[in-house]
Amino acid sequence: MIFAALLAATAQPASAQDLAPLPLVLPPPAMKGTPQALPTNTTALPLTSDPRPPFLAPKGVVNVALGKPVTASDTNLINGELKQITDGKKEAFEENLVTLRRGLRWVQIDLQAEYKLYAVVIWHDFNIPLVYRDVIVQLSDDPEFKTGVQTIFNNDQKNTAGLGIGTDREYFENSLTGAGKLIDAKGIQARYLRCYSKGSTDSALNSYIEVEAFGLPGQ
Amino acid sequence: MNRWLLAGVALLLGVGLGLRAPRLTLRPFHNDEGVGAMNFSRLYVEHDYKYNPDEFHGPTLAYLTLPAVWLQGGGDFNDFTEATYRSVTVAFGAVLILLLLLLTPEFGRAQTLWTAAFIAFSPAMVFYSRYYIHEMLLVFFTAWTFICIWRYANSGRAAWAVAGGLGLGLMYATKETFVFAVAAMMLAVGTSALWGKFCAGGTAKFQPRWNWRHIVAALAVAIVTSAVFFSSFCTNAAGPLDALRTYLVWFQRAGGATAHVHPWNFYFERLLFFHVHGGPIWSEGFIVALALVGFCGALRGGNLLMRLIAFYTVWLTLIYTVLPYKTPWCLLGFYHGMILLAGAGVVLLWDACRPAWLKAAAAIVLAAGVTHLGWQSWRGNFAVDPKGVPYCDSAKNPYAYSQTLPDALRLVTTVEALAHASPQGNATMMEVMSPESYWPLPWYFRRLLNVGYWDKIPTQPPAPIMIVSTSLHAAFDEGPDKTHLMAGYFELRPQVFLELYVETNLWAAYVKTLPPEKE
Repeated sequence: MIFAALLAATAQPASAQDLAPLPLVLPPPAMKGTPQALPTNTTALPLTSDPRPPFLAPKGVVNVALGKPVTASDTNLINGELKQITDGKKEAFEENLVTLRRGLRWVQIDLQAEYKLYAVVIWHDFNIPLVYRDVIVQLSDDPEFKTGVQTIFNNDQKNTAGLGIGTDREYFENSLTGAGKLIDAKGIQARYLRCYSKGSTDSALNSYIEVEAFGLPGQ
Repeated sequence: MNRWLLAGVALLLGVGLGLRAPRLTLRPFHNDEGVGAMNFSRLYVEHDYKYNPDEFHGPTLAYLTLPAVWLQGGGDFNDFTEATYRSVTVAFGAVLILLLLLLTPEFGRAQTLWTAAFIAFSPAMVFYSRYYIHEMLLVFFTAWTFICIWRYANSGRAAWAVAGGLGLGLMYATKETFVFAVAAMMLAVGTSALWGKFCAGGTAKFQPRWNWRHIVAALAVAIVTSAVFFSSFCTNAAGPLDALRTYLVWFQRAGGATAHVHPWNFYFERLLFFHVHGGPIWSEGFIVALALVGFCGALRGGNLLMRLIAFYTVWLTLIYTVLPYKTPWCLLGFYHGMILLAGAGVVLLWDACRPAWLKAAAAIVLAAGVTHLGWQSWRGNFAVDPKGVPYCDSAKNPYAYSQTLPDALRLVTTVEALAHASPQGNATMMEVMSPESYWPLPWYFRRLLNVGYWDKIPTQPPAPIMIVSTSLHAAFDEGPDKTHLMAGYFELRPQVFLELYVETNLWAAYVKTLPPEKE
């Protein structure tokens, strides 16, 4: 009976004591003050300079995407190199920008092992408050993303990407806080992370500065 | 009557209609227009119109919409457009020009023509002639009453007294603020008499032909006329009493229990110099300046009619200026008086310009002034700003007040398409939640059968389509079940944003109806 109780306790989800704020280091804001002429044709919540509430994840999570190899749907880049997306440099400098061509494009990170992922954070170009269109984030253990695909974020409401109708809202690239877009990965175990987008309110191009994935080694 | 005068007035009537009648659907309904149109449905569809002392003003607007609808072939309420309703106020705004002919004998031909021109071209007169609210009807009935009383006082004929009584009854049955016009008329008679006695040396001798029986008959006609309208043509006995009770409500509003409290110079800013950052400059100062000339001439000269108009205008302007409750269309009442004075002012100025070169210069200035008024009227109703926003919808226009924005029509189109994609069609459940006024949406959603309106988030289950004010922070899309998505923001009025939430299954059906997106 004692053994059963111990087993039950072990099977419990992580308690509040096991959780801690994500060890996320934000880049400095790209701009200060009230931005003028914000895009209006979007479902994004209004831009705010308020800090994001702490996101709690199991203690010990780290950015498992750091330095991992990146591939993309588009090998003919307009700007930068794909490896910059996981190089840890998150400042909104032009030299940190990786720009893919127009249309629906994806970048994919091979975490090189299975991880239980709790959060994915994406920084597109946040020099000015933009809204990237049709942002879809998927996890899988298949590098081709044909099997075992789990969508953790999708704001492609009109299903232009053909990956299903998204129910999430668009969001502003927050140049006032540099906070990036934090997506709850809910502890899904995966090796590959793929991020889609289809231009922004500013341009048909698809730019990234950094992608981070916070997790623990998988079982 | 002089045929040149008739031809001139006819020409100006044509110009006035030319500025008033085209493209009446260009501007979405203001919330008051939407309220008026739905009020009409109680008369036309439900045959159950009752005067409401708390809202919506008097019954004449609804009843006088009936002839407009019949003239346009009647038909289904749902098929009526903004133009159907606005044709009513267009007609009254244009016929206001013709009324001037009844004043011509004492007013003068040139004065009549210039006044007709100013009414035809004035941006305020044109804009609010294309606005389905009570104001243009009140201006018309006030002018009619004033003219009939004047004609009666001159002729002593009972018919004019009765016609004046009819006008008074219609004023009463149009809008509660008719009391200000009546007060201004009475004060004008008193001050005009005093002015004539003490300041003008008795230059305007006038012996009105009163007959108490005529006066009583006129008052009886006024009472009967208003009672017929307020009682919904004798089907609502409480209506005439409600028509008195309404003043308790409106006195509270006029005293400041409203969002429409504005400083004293609110009307003058709009008439004299109105400029919003990024917008053009608007001014009807040309008319106001000429009105000042006409006012001075009226006080100095011996024309009693002009003196009455001058004092009436001053008193009505003062009343509306002092009242804290201000909406821009309320200026029409006293501005109509100013326009009459301006018509007289032109002739005074013209006569004062003796040398030919001065007359030529005056002619150029007058032509330029009228052209400028007409150009502003055209711009205010039909032109777009550099960003493509119509001025008739823009806060850059002095007369577009809390105007519904074109974004509201985008919302209506999207909701109608969603209903079309739903198996329930127009019976699809929809909830509108907004602590701010959601009008004129009820009129635009008139074809949808199951729409509920709330000023907060209701406790009942969410509907497949929900329109929610951003001030309620609904976040219906953030629930764990993800039953709804937030399909977009829509700006109903400046800074009043609505969110459209749609059940995900319905949204998926809707997306299938969309044309493929172009790359």
